[in-house]
Amino acid sequence: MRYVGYEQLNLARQRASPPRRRRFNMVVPGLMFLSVALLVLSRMEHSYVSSVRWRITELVTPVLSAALIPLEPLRWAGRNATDLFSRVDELQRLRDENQQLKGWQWRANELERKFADLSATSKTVRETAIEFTTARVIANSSGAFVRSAMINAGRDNKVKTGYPVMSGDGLVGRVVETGPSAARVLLLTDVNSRIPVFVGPNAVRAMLAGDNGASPKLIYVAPDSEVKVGDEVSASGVGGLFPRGLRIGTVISASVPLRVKPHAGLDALEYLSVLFYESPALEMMSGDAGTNGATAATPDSASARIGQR
Amino acid sequence: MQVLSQVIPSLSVALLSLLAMLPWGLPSDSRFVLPLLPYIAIHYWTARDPERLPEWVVFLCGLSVDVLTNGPLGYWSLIYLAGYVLAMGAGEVRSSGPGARWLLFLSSMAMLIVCAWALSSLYYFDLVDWTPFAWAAVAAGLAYPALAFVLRSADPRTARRTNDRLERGV
Repeated sequence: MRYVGYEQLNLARQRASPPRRRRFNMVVPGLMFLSVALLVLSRMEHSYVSSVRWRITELVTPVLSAALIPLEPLRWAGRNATDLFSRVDELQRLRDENQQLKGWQWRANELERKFADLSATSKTVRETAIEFTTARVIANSSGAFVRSAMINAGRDNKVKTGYPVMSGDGLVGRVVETGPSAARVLLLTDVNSRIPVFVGPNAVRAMLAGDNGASPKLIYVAPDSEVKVGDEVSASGVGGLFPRGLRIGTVISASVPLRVKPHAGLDALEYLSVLFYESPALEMMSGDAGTNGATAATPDSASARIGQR
Repeated sequence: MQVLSQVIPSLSVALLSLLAMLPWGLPSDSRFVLPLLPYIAIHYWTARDPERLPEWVVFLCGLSVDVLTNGPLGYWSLIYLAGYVLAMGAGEVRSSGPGARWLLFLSSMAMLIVCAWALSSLYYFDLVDWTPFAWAAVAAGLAYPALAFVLRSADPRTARRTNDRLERGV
């Protein structure tokens, strides 16, 4: 610490912070022009943009993974604070749900037994179990544009474009881009997401379409079909992109457009399971193009086309 | 110390950009505030001393946010650069005291968020929902004093100046 007088202090302050006025140069307009050019290329979905994006993503993935480690206590505290507020209501809801589930468990056991009997009689081939890998979410989308998440598993972990992605609670979306050690998952709330689904006990066919909101909507529902609030929504498997029967959510609004609340908490994703589901539709598409971002929109448009039929 | 005082502005913007990309578990509508956090630092440093925060750092931070949040490339870099120009303008205004600086930030933020909404709408050729933008601007406006305090504490130049002690009669 040094001791100074008033005049010395004023002089020192003037020396330390002389009035700085930056002269206008062409760097800022140049960088702005570059940004606009990149924006236009992104809008055109140019393949160059996708390859640049993945090169940078691969470089930053280890940094993001490392950054998550010291931040984990903060995230944990945030989650707990939110849980604390909703715990009392949640407890009551779980009690009610438990009562209902006990009834369903009994029915499920009965049905399983009947199914085993019928399968034995008809000699149907049992569905093979789907393998999966679990990965951590290392980055989230933010802003008005997309709803996606990045996971720290990629081609090196046998993850391919088009594979369905689940959390413990239900379907989250599917892989749309893969790099060697990271992959991008398009969430089912994204405006580009289209998933063929069954709704309710009557298995009404519909298409689950994201609109960047929290609750995706059901489209292409037959006008005379009976859909009510609380009906379960699951993947129909039409088009072959998703295995049939994957849990998705429940109908929360019976007025048009019908809205679905996903079972998976899409706002607080931490670990996701990528199902190694090799569908014929994906094999056909991978024959047309590679596994990079250029093909990202293809499964959506394909499933949309299939769903419209 | 001289080197540190030159590096701190760029480092703080880069760190806040990194924080903006991480999955914090916020609801999707509230998540729009995260990319505005680096802008607070950009405004803070540029309004005080633009020489210490190069334009290319602002551009690269915006670009990395675009890449890792899967947004369109160039969107956040353009917004940050527009904010950089606004902050340079704010630096020209003779203001004293944290209240006046906060007001300057709020007015810059208001202009910037309108630009961000207009650019999103132009990108989609459709009027996008303005409410997430408005909430994000309000949240960033409220976060400014706290973040400005942290940045001020991290600035070696400010620390050196406040360590001077007056002695009567010298």
